[in-house]
Amino acid sequence: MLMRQHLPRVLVTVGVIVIAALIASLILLASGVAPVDALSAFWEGTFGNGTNAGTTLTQAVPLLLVALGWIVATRAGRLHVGYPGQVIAGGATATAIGLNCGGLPGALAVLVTALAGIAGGALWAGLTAWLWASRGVLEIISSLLLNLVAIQVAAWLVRGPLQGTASQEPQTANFPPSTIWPSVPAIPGQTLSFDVVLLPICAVIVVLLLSRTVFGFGLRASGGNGEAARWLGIDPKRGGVVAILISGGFAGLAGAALLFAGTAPWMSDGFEAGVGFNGIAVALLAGNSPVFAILTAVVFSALNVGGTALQATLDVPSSLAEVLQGAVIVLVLLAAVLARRRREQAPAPQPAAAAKSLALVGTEEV
Amino acid sequence: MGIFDVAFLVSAVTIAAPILLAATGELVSERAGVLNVGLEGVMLTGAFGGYLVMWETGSLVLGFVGGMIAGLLFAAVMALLSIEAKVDQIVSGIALTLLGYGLTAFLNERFLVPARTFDPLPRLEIPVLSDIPVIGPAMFDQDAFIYATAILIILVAFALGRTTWGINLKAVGESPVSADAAGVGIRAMRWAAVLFSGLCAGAAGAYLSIGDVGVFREGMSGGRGYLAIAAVLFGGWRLAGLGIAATIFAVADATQLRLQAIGVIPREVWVAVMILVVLVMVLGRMRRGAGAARLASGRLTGIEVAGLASVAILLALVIVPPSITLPVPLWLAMPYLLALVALGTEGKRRHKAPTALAVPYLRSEV
Repeated sequence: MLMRQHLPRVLVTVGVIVIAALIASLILLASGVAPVDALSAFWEGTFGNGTNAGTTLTQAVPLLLVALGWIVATRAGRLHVGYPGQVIAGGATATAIGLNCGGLPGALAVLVTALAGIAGGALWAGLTAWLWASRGVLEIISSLLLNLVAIQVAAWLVRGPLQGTASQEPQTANFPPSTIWPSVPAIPGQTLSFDVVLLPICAVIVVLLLSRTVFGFGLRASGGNGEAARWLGIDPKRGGVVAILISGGFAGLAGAALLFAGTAPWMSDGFEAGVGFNGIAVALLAGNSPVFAILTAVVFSALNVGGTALQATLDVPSSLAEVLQGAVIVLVLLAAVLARRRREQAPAPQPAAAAKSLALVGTEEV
Repeated sequence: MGIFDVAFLVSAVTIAAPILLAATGELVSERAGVLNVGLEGVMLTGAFGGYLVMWETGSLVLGFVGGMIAGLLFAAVMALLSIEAKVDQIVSGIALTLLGYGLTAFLNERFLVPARTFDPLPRLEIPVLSDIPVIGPAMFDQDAFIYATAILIILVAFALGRTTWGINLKAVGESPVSADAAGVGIRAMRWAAVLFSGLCAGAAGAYLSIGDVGVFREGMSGGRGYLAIAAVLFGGWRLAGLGIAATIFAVADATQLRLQAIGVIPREVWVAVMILVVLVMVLGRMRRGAGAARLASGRLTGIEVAGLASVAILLALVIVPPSITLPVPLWLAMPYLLALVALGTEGKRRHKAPTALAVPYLRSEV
């Protein structure tokens, strides 16, 4: 039963990955690189040894966190895209607080940076939520503009108030060692951070939250049908605001993870590195299923890490990964439509459900 | 005149034109019910397409044609996803933006390696009109793109307001069911509108790369596509409102360009901002005024209190101009912040969004 339920989704994902791989091979051939060479370089760079596998897994964490934020927000019907800005806001807040937490014992310092990240992301998302709920501004537009503002604010922070005194580079001072999130000592290079435990934990929390709690029911009701939600005594506006805040908290935590479990122990202005938008792609590829998103987050992380490896070994521009990520979303969207067409043809058609296809990404069951 | 001289006006017009053109296309597409959030990606592809063709042929005219074709192709993907596949328009817009960023960065890095810089569009002086002081050099000594934009906007205004085609188009966006019943082809209308927006955004993008700067840079549209979407919302889905919004964004952008060079904010900036705030408040009052009981009672709204407070602060700043220097990144954030404030204070819309905006049309609904 479970297998039959999930089979189409798995097929869609596998199909999309195969087509994306074909596109990648074509692009590689066009630019004069043998796909086989590229594949072996890609494998070596992503899972070939413990160090690289650690990097791949660790970099999947922020992607998954953003994806979970997107899943929660879309389930409540709020398609905002402010994740890059919230990642930056969360990371910057965590940095500002973490730089002053050198005296705290390790576990406490790590907790403080994580909470600061969540708070920063949620606050930045709060602007979008406020503009949407009380000023009636479309959340997608305000969040897009806030992303652009956040990029500039981060650029200012690392050149002004937060700039380290040691160098003239636009970056902060090194984080105090106690605030760095611990990593597995057995892996050479210490690339595997312990924050990979967030992958299953957060995914399960979101599944339980959405499917097993009254609160999650409220969120889904606000996203499904506002009128019906009101009849249930649920304020869809409140649900939307809370969902945007939660998604901002996830994105902010992702920002903290990028910095404190990352490769460099400082914040520079480009640290977000496309995680905000790629997280959305991760959620879409997983069909908005939190558990499945773990897998797709690892796939996307491998694309990023492998893209860098390809650039280093074969001189293929690493933006190839971005092309594939964009192509993957388009393919997923088309695949979802094809799947729906087939479902509609087989049993009796459901015009009511079909008419609500605006909520396509938001109403799938957990 | 200090910093607000003729050169300032010229640069404001140059900044406003591509935003205005892209926004006009977006307006047509939104009036037909398709919200193209991928505008940023379409603009970027247009910028790249123009540069690519120019790189190959060296012809400015062909370059613009190339930019428009690139925009058209990307818009066709958007139309395919939103009209034929009936995918959520916001999600497909995000996909387009990501794809645009990745694709243009990859192709530029891989295939157009020795970057070439071209001469920007030549200025064309219109004989008599360009002799008018102040307005003459700003409006009638510009390049062909700006004249073409002006003519196109007049044509669109005429088409939307005075022709059967325009009325049908608006009907498609308001009530596709009725339009369908009246024999208007919904799909054809929406395809035409989306493709038109692609042409406009592609040309606007080409202007950014080969028309203005003369070279393509990764992510060079820098949020102008988002500003164009914000202009449509702020402008209340009317061409006149669009003009006001684009003017505000362009003036803010031109001011920030000027002030970056000067450093200390001169007194006339405070005067200009104060005049602007007062003007907006007076206009707001007049708009709401007609027949409102609140006006008779003379009570101030919360926004107006905030406006008065900011006027008082600005007055103090005019009398005692402080030597404030803002770092460059914060100046860069200014147009986006202003767009957010504009959208936020606009608040509850005077003009409603097209009723069927972002809702796919399914014939079975009838």
